[in-house]
Amino acid sequence: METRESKDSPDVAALIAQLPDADMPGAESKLTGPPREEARRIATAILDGGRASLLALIDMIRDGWGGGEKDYRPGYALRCVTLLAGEPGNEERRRLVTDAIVARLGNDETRLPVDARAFLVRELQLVGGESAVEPLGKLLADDALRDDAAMALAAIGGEAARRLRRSWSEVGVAGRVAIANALGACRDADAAGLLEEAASDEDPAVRIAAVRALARTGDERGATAVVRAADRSDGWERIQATRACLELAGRLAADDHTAAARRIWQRLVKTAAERGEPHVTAAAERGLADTAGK
Amino acid sequence: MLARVMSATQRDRSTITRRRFLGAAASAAATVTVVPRHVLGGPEHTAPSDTFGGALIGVGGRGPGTFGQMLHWGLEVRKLAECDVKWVGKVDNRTRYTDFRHVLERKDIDIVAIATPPHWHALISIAAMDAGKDVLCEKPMTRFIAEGRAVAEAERRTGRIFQVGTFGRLRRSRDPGNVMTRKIMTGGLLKECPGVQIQRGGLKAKEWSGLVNTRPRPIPDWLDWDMYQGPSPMKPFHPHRFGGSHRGYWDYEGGGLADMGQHYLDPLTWVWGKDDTAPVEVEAHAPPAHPEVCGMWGWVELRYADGFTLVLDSGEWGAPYDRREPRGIGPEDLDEDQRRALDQLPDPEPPLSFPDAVRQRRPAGGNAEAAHRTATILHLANIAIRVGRTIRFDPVQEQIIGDEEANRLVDQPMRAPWQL
Repeated sequence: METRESKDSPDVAALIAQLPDADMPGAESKLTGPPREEARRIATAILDGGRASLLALIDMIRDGWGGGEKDYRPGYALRCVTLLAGEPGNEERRRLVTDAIVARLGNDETRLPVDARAFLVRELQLVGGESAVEPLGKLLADDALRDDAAMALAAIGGEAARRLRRSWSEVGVAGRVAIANALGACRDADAAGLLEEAASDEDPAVRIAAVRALARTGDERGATAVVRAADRSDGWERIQATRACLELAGRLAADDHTAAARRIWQRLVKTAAERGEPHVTAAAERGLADTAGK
Repeated sequence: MLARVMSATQRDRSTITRRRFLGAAASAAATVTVVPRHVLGGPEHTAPSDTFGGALIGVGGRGPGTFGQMLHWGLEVRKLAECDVKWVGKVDNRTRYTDFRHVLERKDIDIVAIATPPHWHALISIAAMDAGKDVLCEKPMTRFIAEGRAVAEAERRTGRIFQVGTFGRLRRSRDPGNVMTRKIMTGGLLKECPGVQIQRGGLKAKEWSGLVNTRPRPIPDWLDWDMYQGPSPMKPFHPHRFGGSHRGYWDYEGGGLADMGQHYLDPLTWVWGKDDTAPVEVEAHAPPAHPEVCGMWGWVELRYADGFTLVLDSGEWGAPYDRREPRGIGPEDLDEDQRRALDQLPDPEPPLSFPDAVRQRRPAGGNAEAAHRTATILHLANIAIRVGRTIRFDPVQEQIIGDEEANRLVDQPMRAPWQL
């Protein structure tokens, strides 16, 4: 087990005790909070204490709202630290905070309550960088933390997309929906093949997530799958699939892939007329009119 | 969860065809039978009856008032369906629903009024427009900036009418002084705008902040907590996160600033010609924000690229804002040539009311682009409060410049199965 306090580390519990009580001490209460300078002084002292101080602080968090055993202070103090470390040009401190959070997420001996771990994952959504990608990727297989992990990876972007793709074959339906969403948020064009296949999945939730993600990537390779999904679906799934068609066509047209965009609109005009969806027909016809002659 | 819901969707598909809906309606005393407008003339066409099928999604708090506003305006809209997540076990999926997706599948509904908490506003608005409905959506329009851009794109993509639920610009645009200010600003007559607008008070910082030191409670059996949380991260249940006091939590809104701000700023963005841009620099005076709970703040100063300064002063924390005094603009700020140019400018077209927009198929005064730009002011103010440092914003790319942490609050990933 890692050392919680080194000899030179500040007394983190004493530091955060200097934060003011909530407005009604001992009760569920609103919080006026400390002056910014005072909070900064405390956060700086914790950061200057290095990894041991950060781990000591993190270990005090017990619930999903960042609270400790008795009050709001631990999670609030961690947020103050996160914001200080996240200041532009402070990459070393940011990495220090990220790595401390990651260490506690992956440490079975000091295992925090699951809600507390979810709180930490959400802090990584704000402050995490590439060093958080692999640890977050492992959480995609954890039912309790999967959604928060996927959101954090989507926020980090970049290398996170590759990790999301790698997890695809290791997770079930809910995991695939979360991954497809995150890949769409990352606008990951390299996921086009994976999402294209997922657009024909037997589970409607996976299909919808994949089709929407394909539209967000704006990749021409997704056109066939998106149109096919719209052709085959009804109800809510059809609404989402026609949205994906219109979004993808719009993006393709904006990127000068006019012919591909027009094929999508033309197909929508035909199927929407058959289905009695004049709003879809009108939207597709606007796209065709805007790109006529291009 | 979605798999369960989609299975239900497929089960219900046959039950919500128009024929079966009308058949069911005939035997349901609470339901009004209406010939849907799309049957008479299609949604791009004004029907002879001018009667619209309506639905209300989110019936608590502002819900009845939001739907009632349409009737107050004289819009012939009949409420065919209501939806709320607090009706678990009490729905018939004909007139009462807990899942808005079933409502949007119905082709007899032309207009949707949305009065859910704001973390649902964007997703439901977009889905409604993609389903061919016009939308009247409560304020604030969104929970974060990227949502607003997505709603504006949906409005353009679908050609539907969107109106945010605040209407101050309709009245303020009739004031000759405001018309003059708008003409000067939109006419590009000032190289550097000396205008300063200060909103003091009325932003309910304390009243609509959340609670700390809370402990989880059991989820009531009448509440679909998963659906309530929707695109926001799943959190333990606490009653203060629900039913009006949700305003005090970042997961659902942005405190009194977000909730009241759109009322105050919607007219100002029209008057000062800011419906297509955003502040470029934002500085806040506030204590550090709690990660979960919207709390106290003093003032926020937002500066536009043309020099116009907007200040929000809560009057509830710290010293009041005293850097600048309010200052309007007028012809006296122009030279002779500019005044002549001003005289040649036509008066701006008055913003269109929602009923007129629906009937004429032209953008409403509180359309998605304009409402998004107003909401962006609120979100930028809250981001500056939350990160505790001055932020710089690119109004074209809609990104915070040089501050990755702050920028992650501009476009926040959503919890599956929801995505923007």
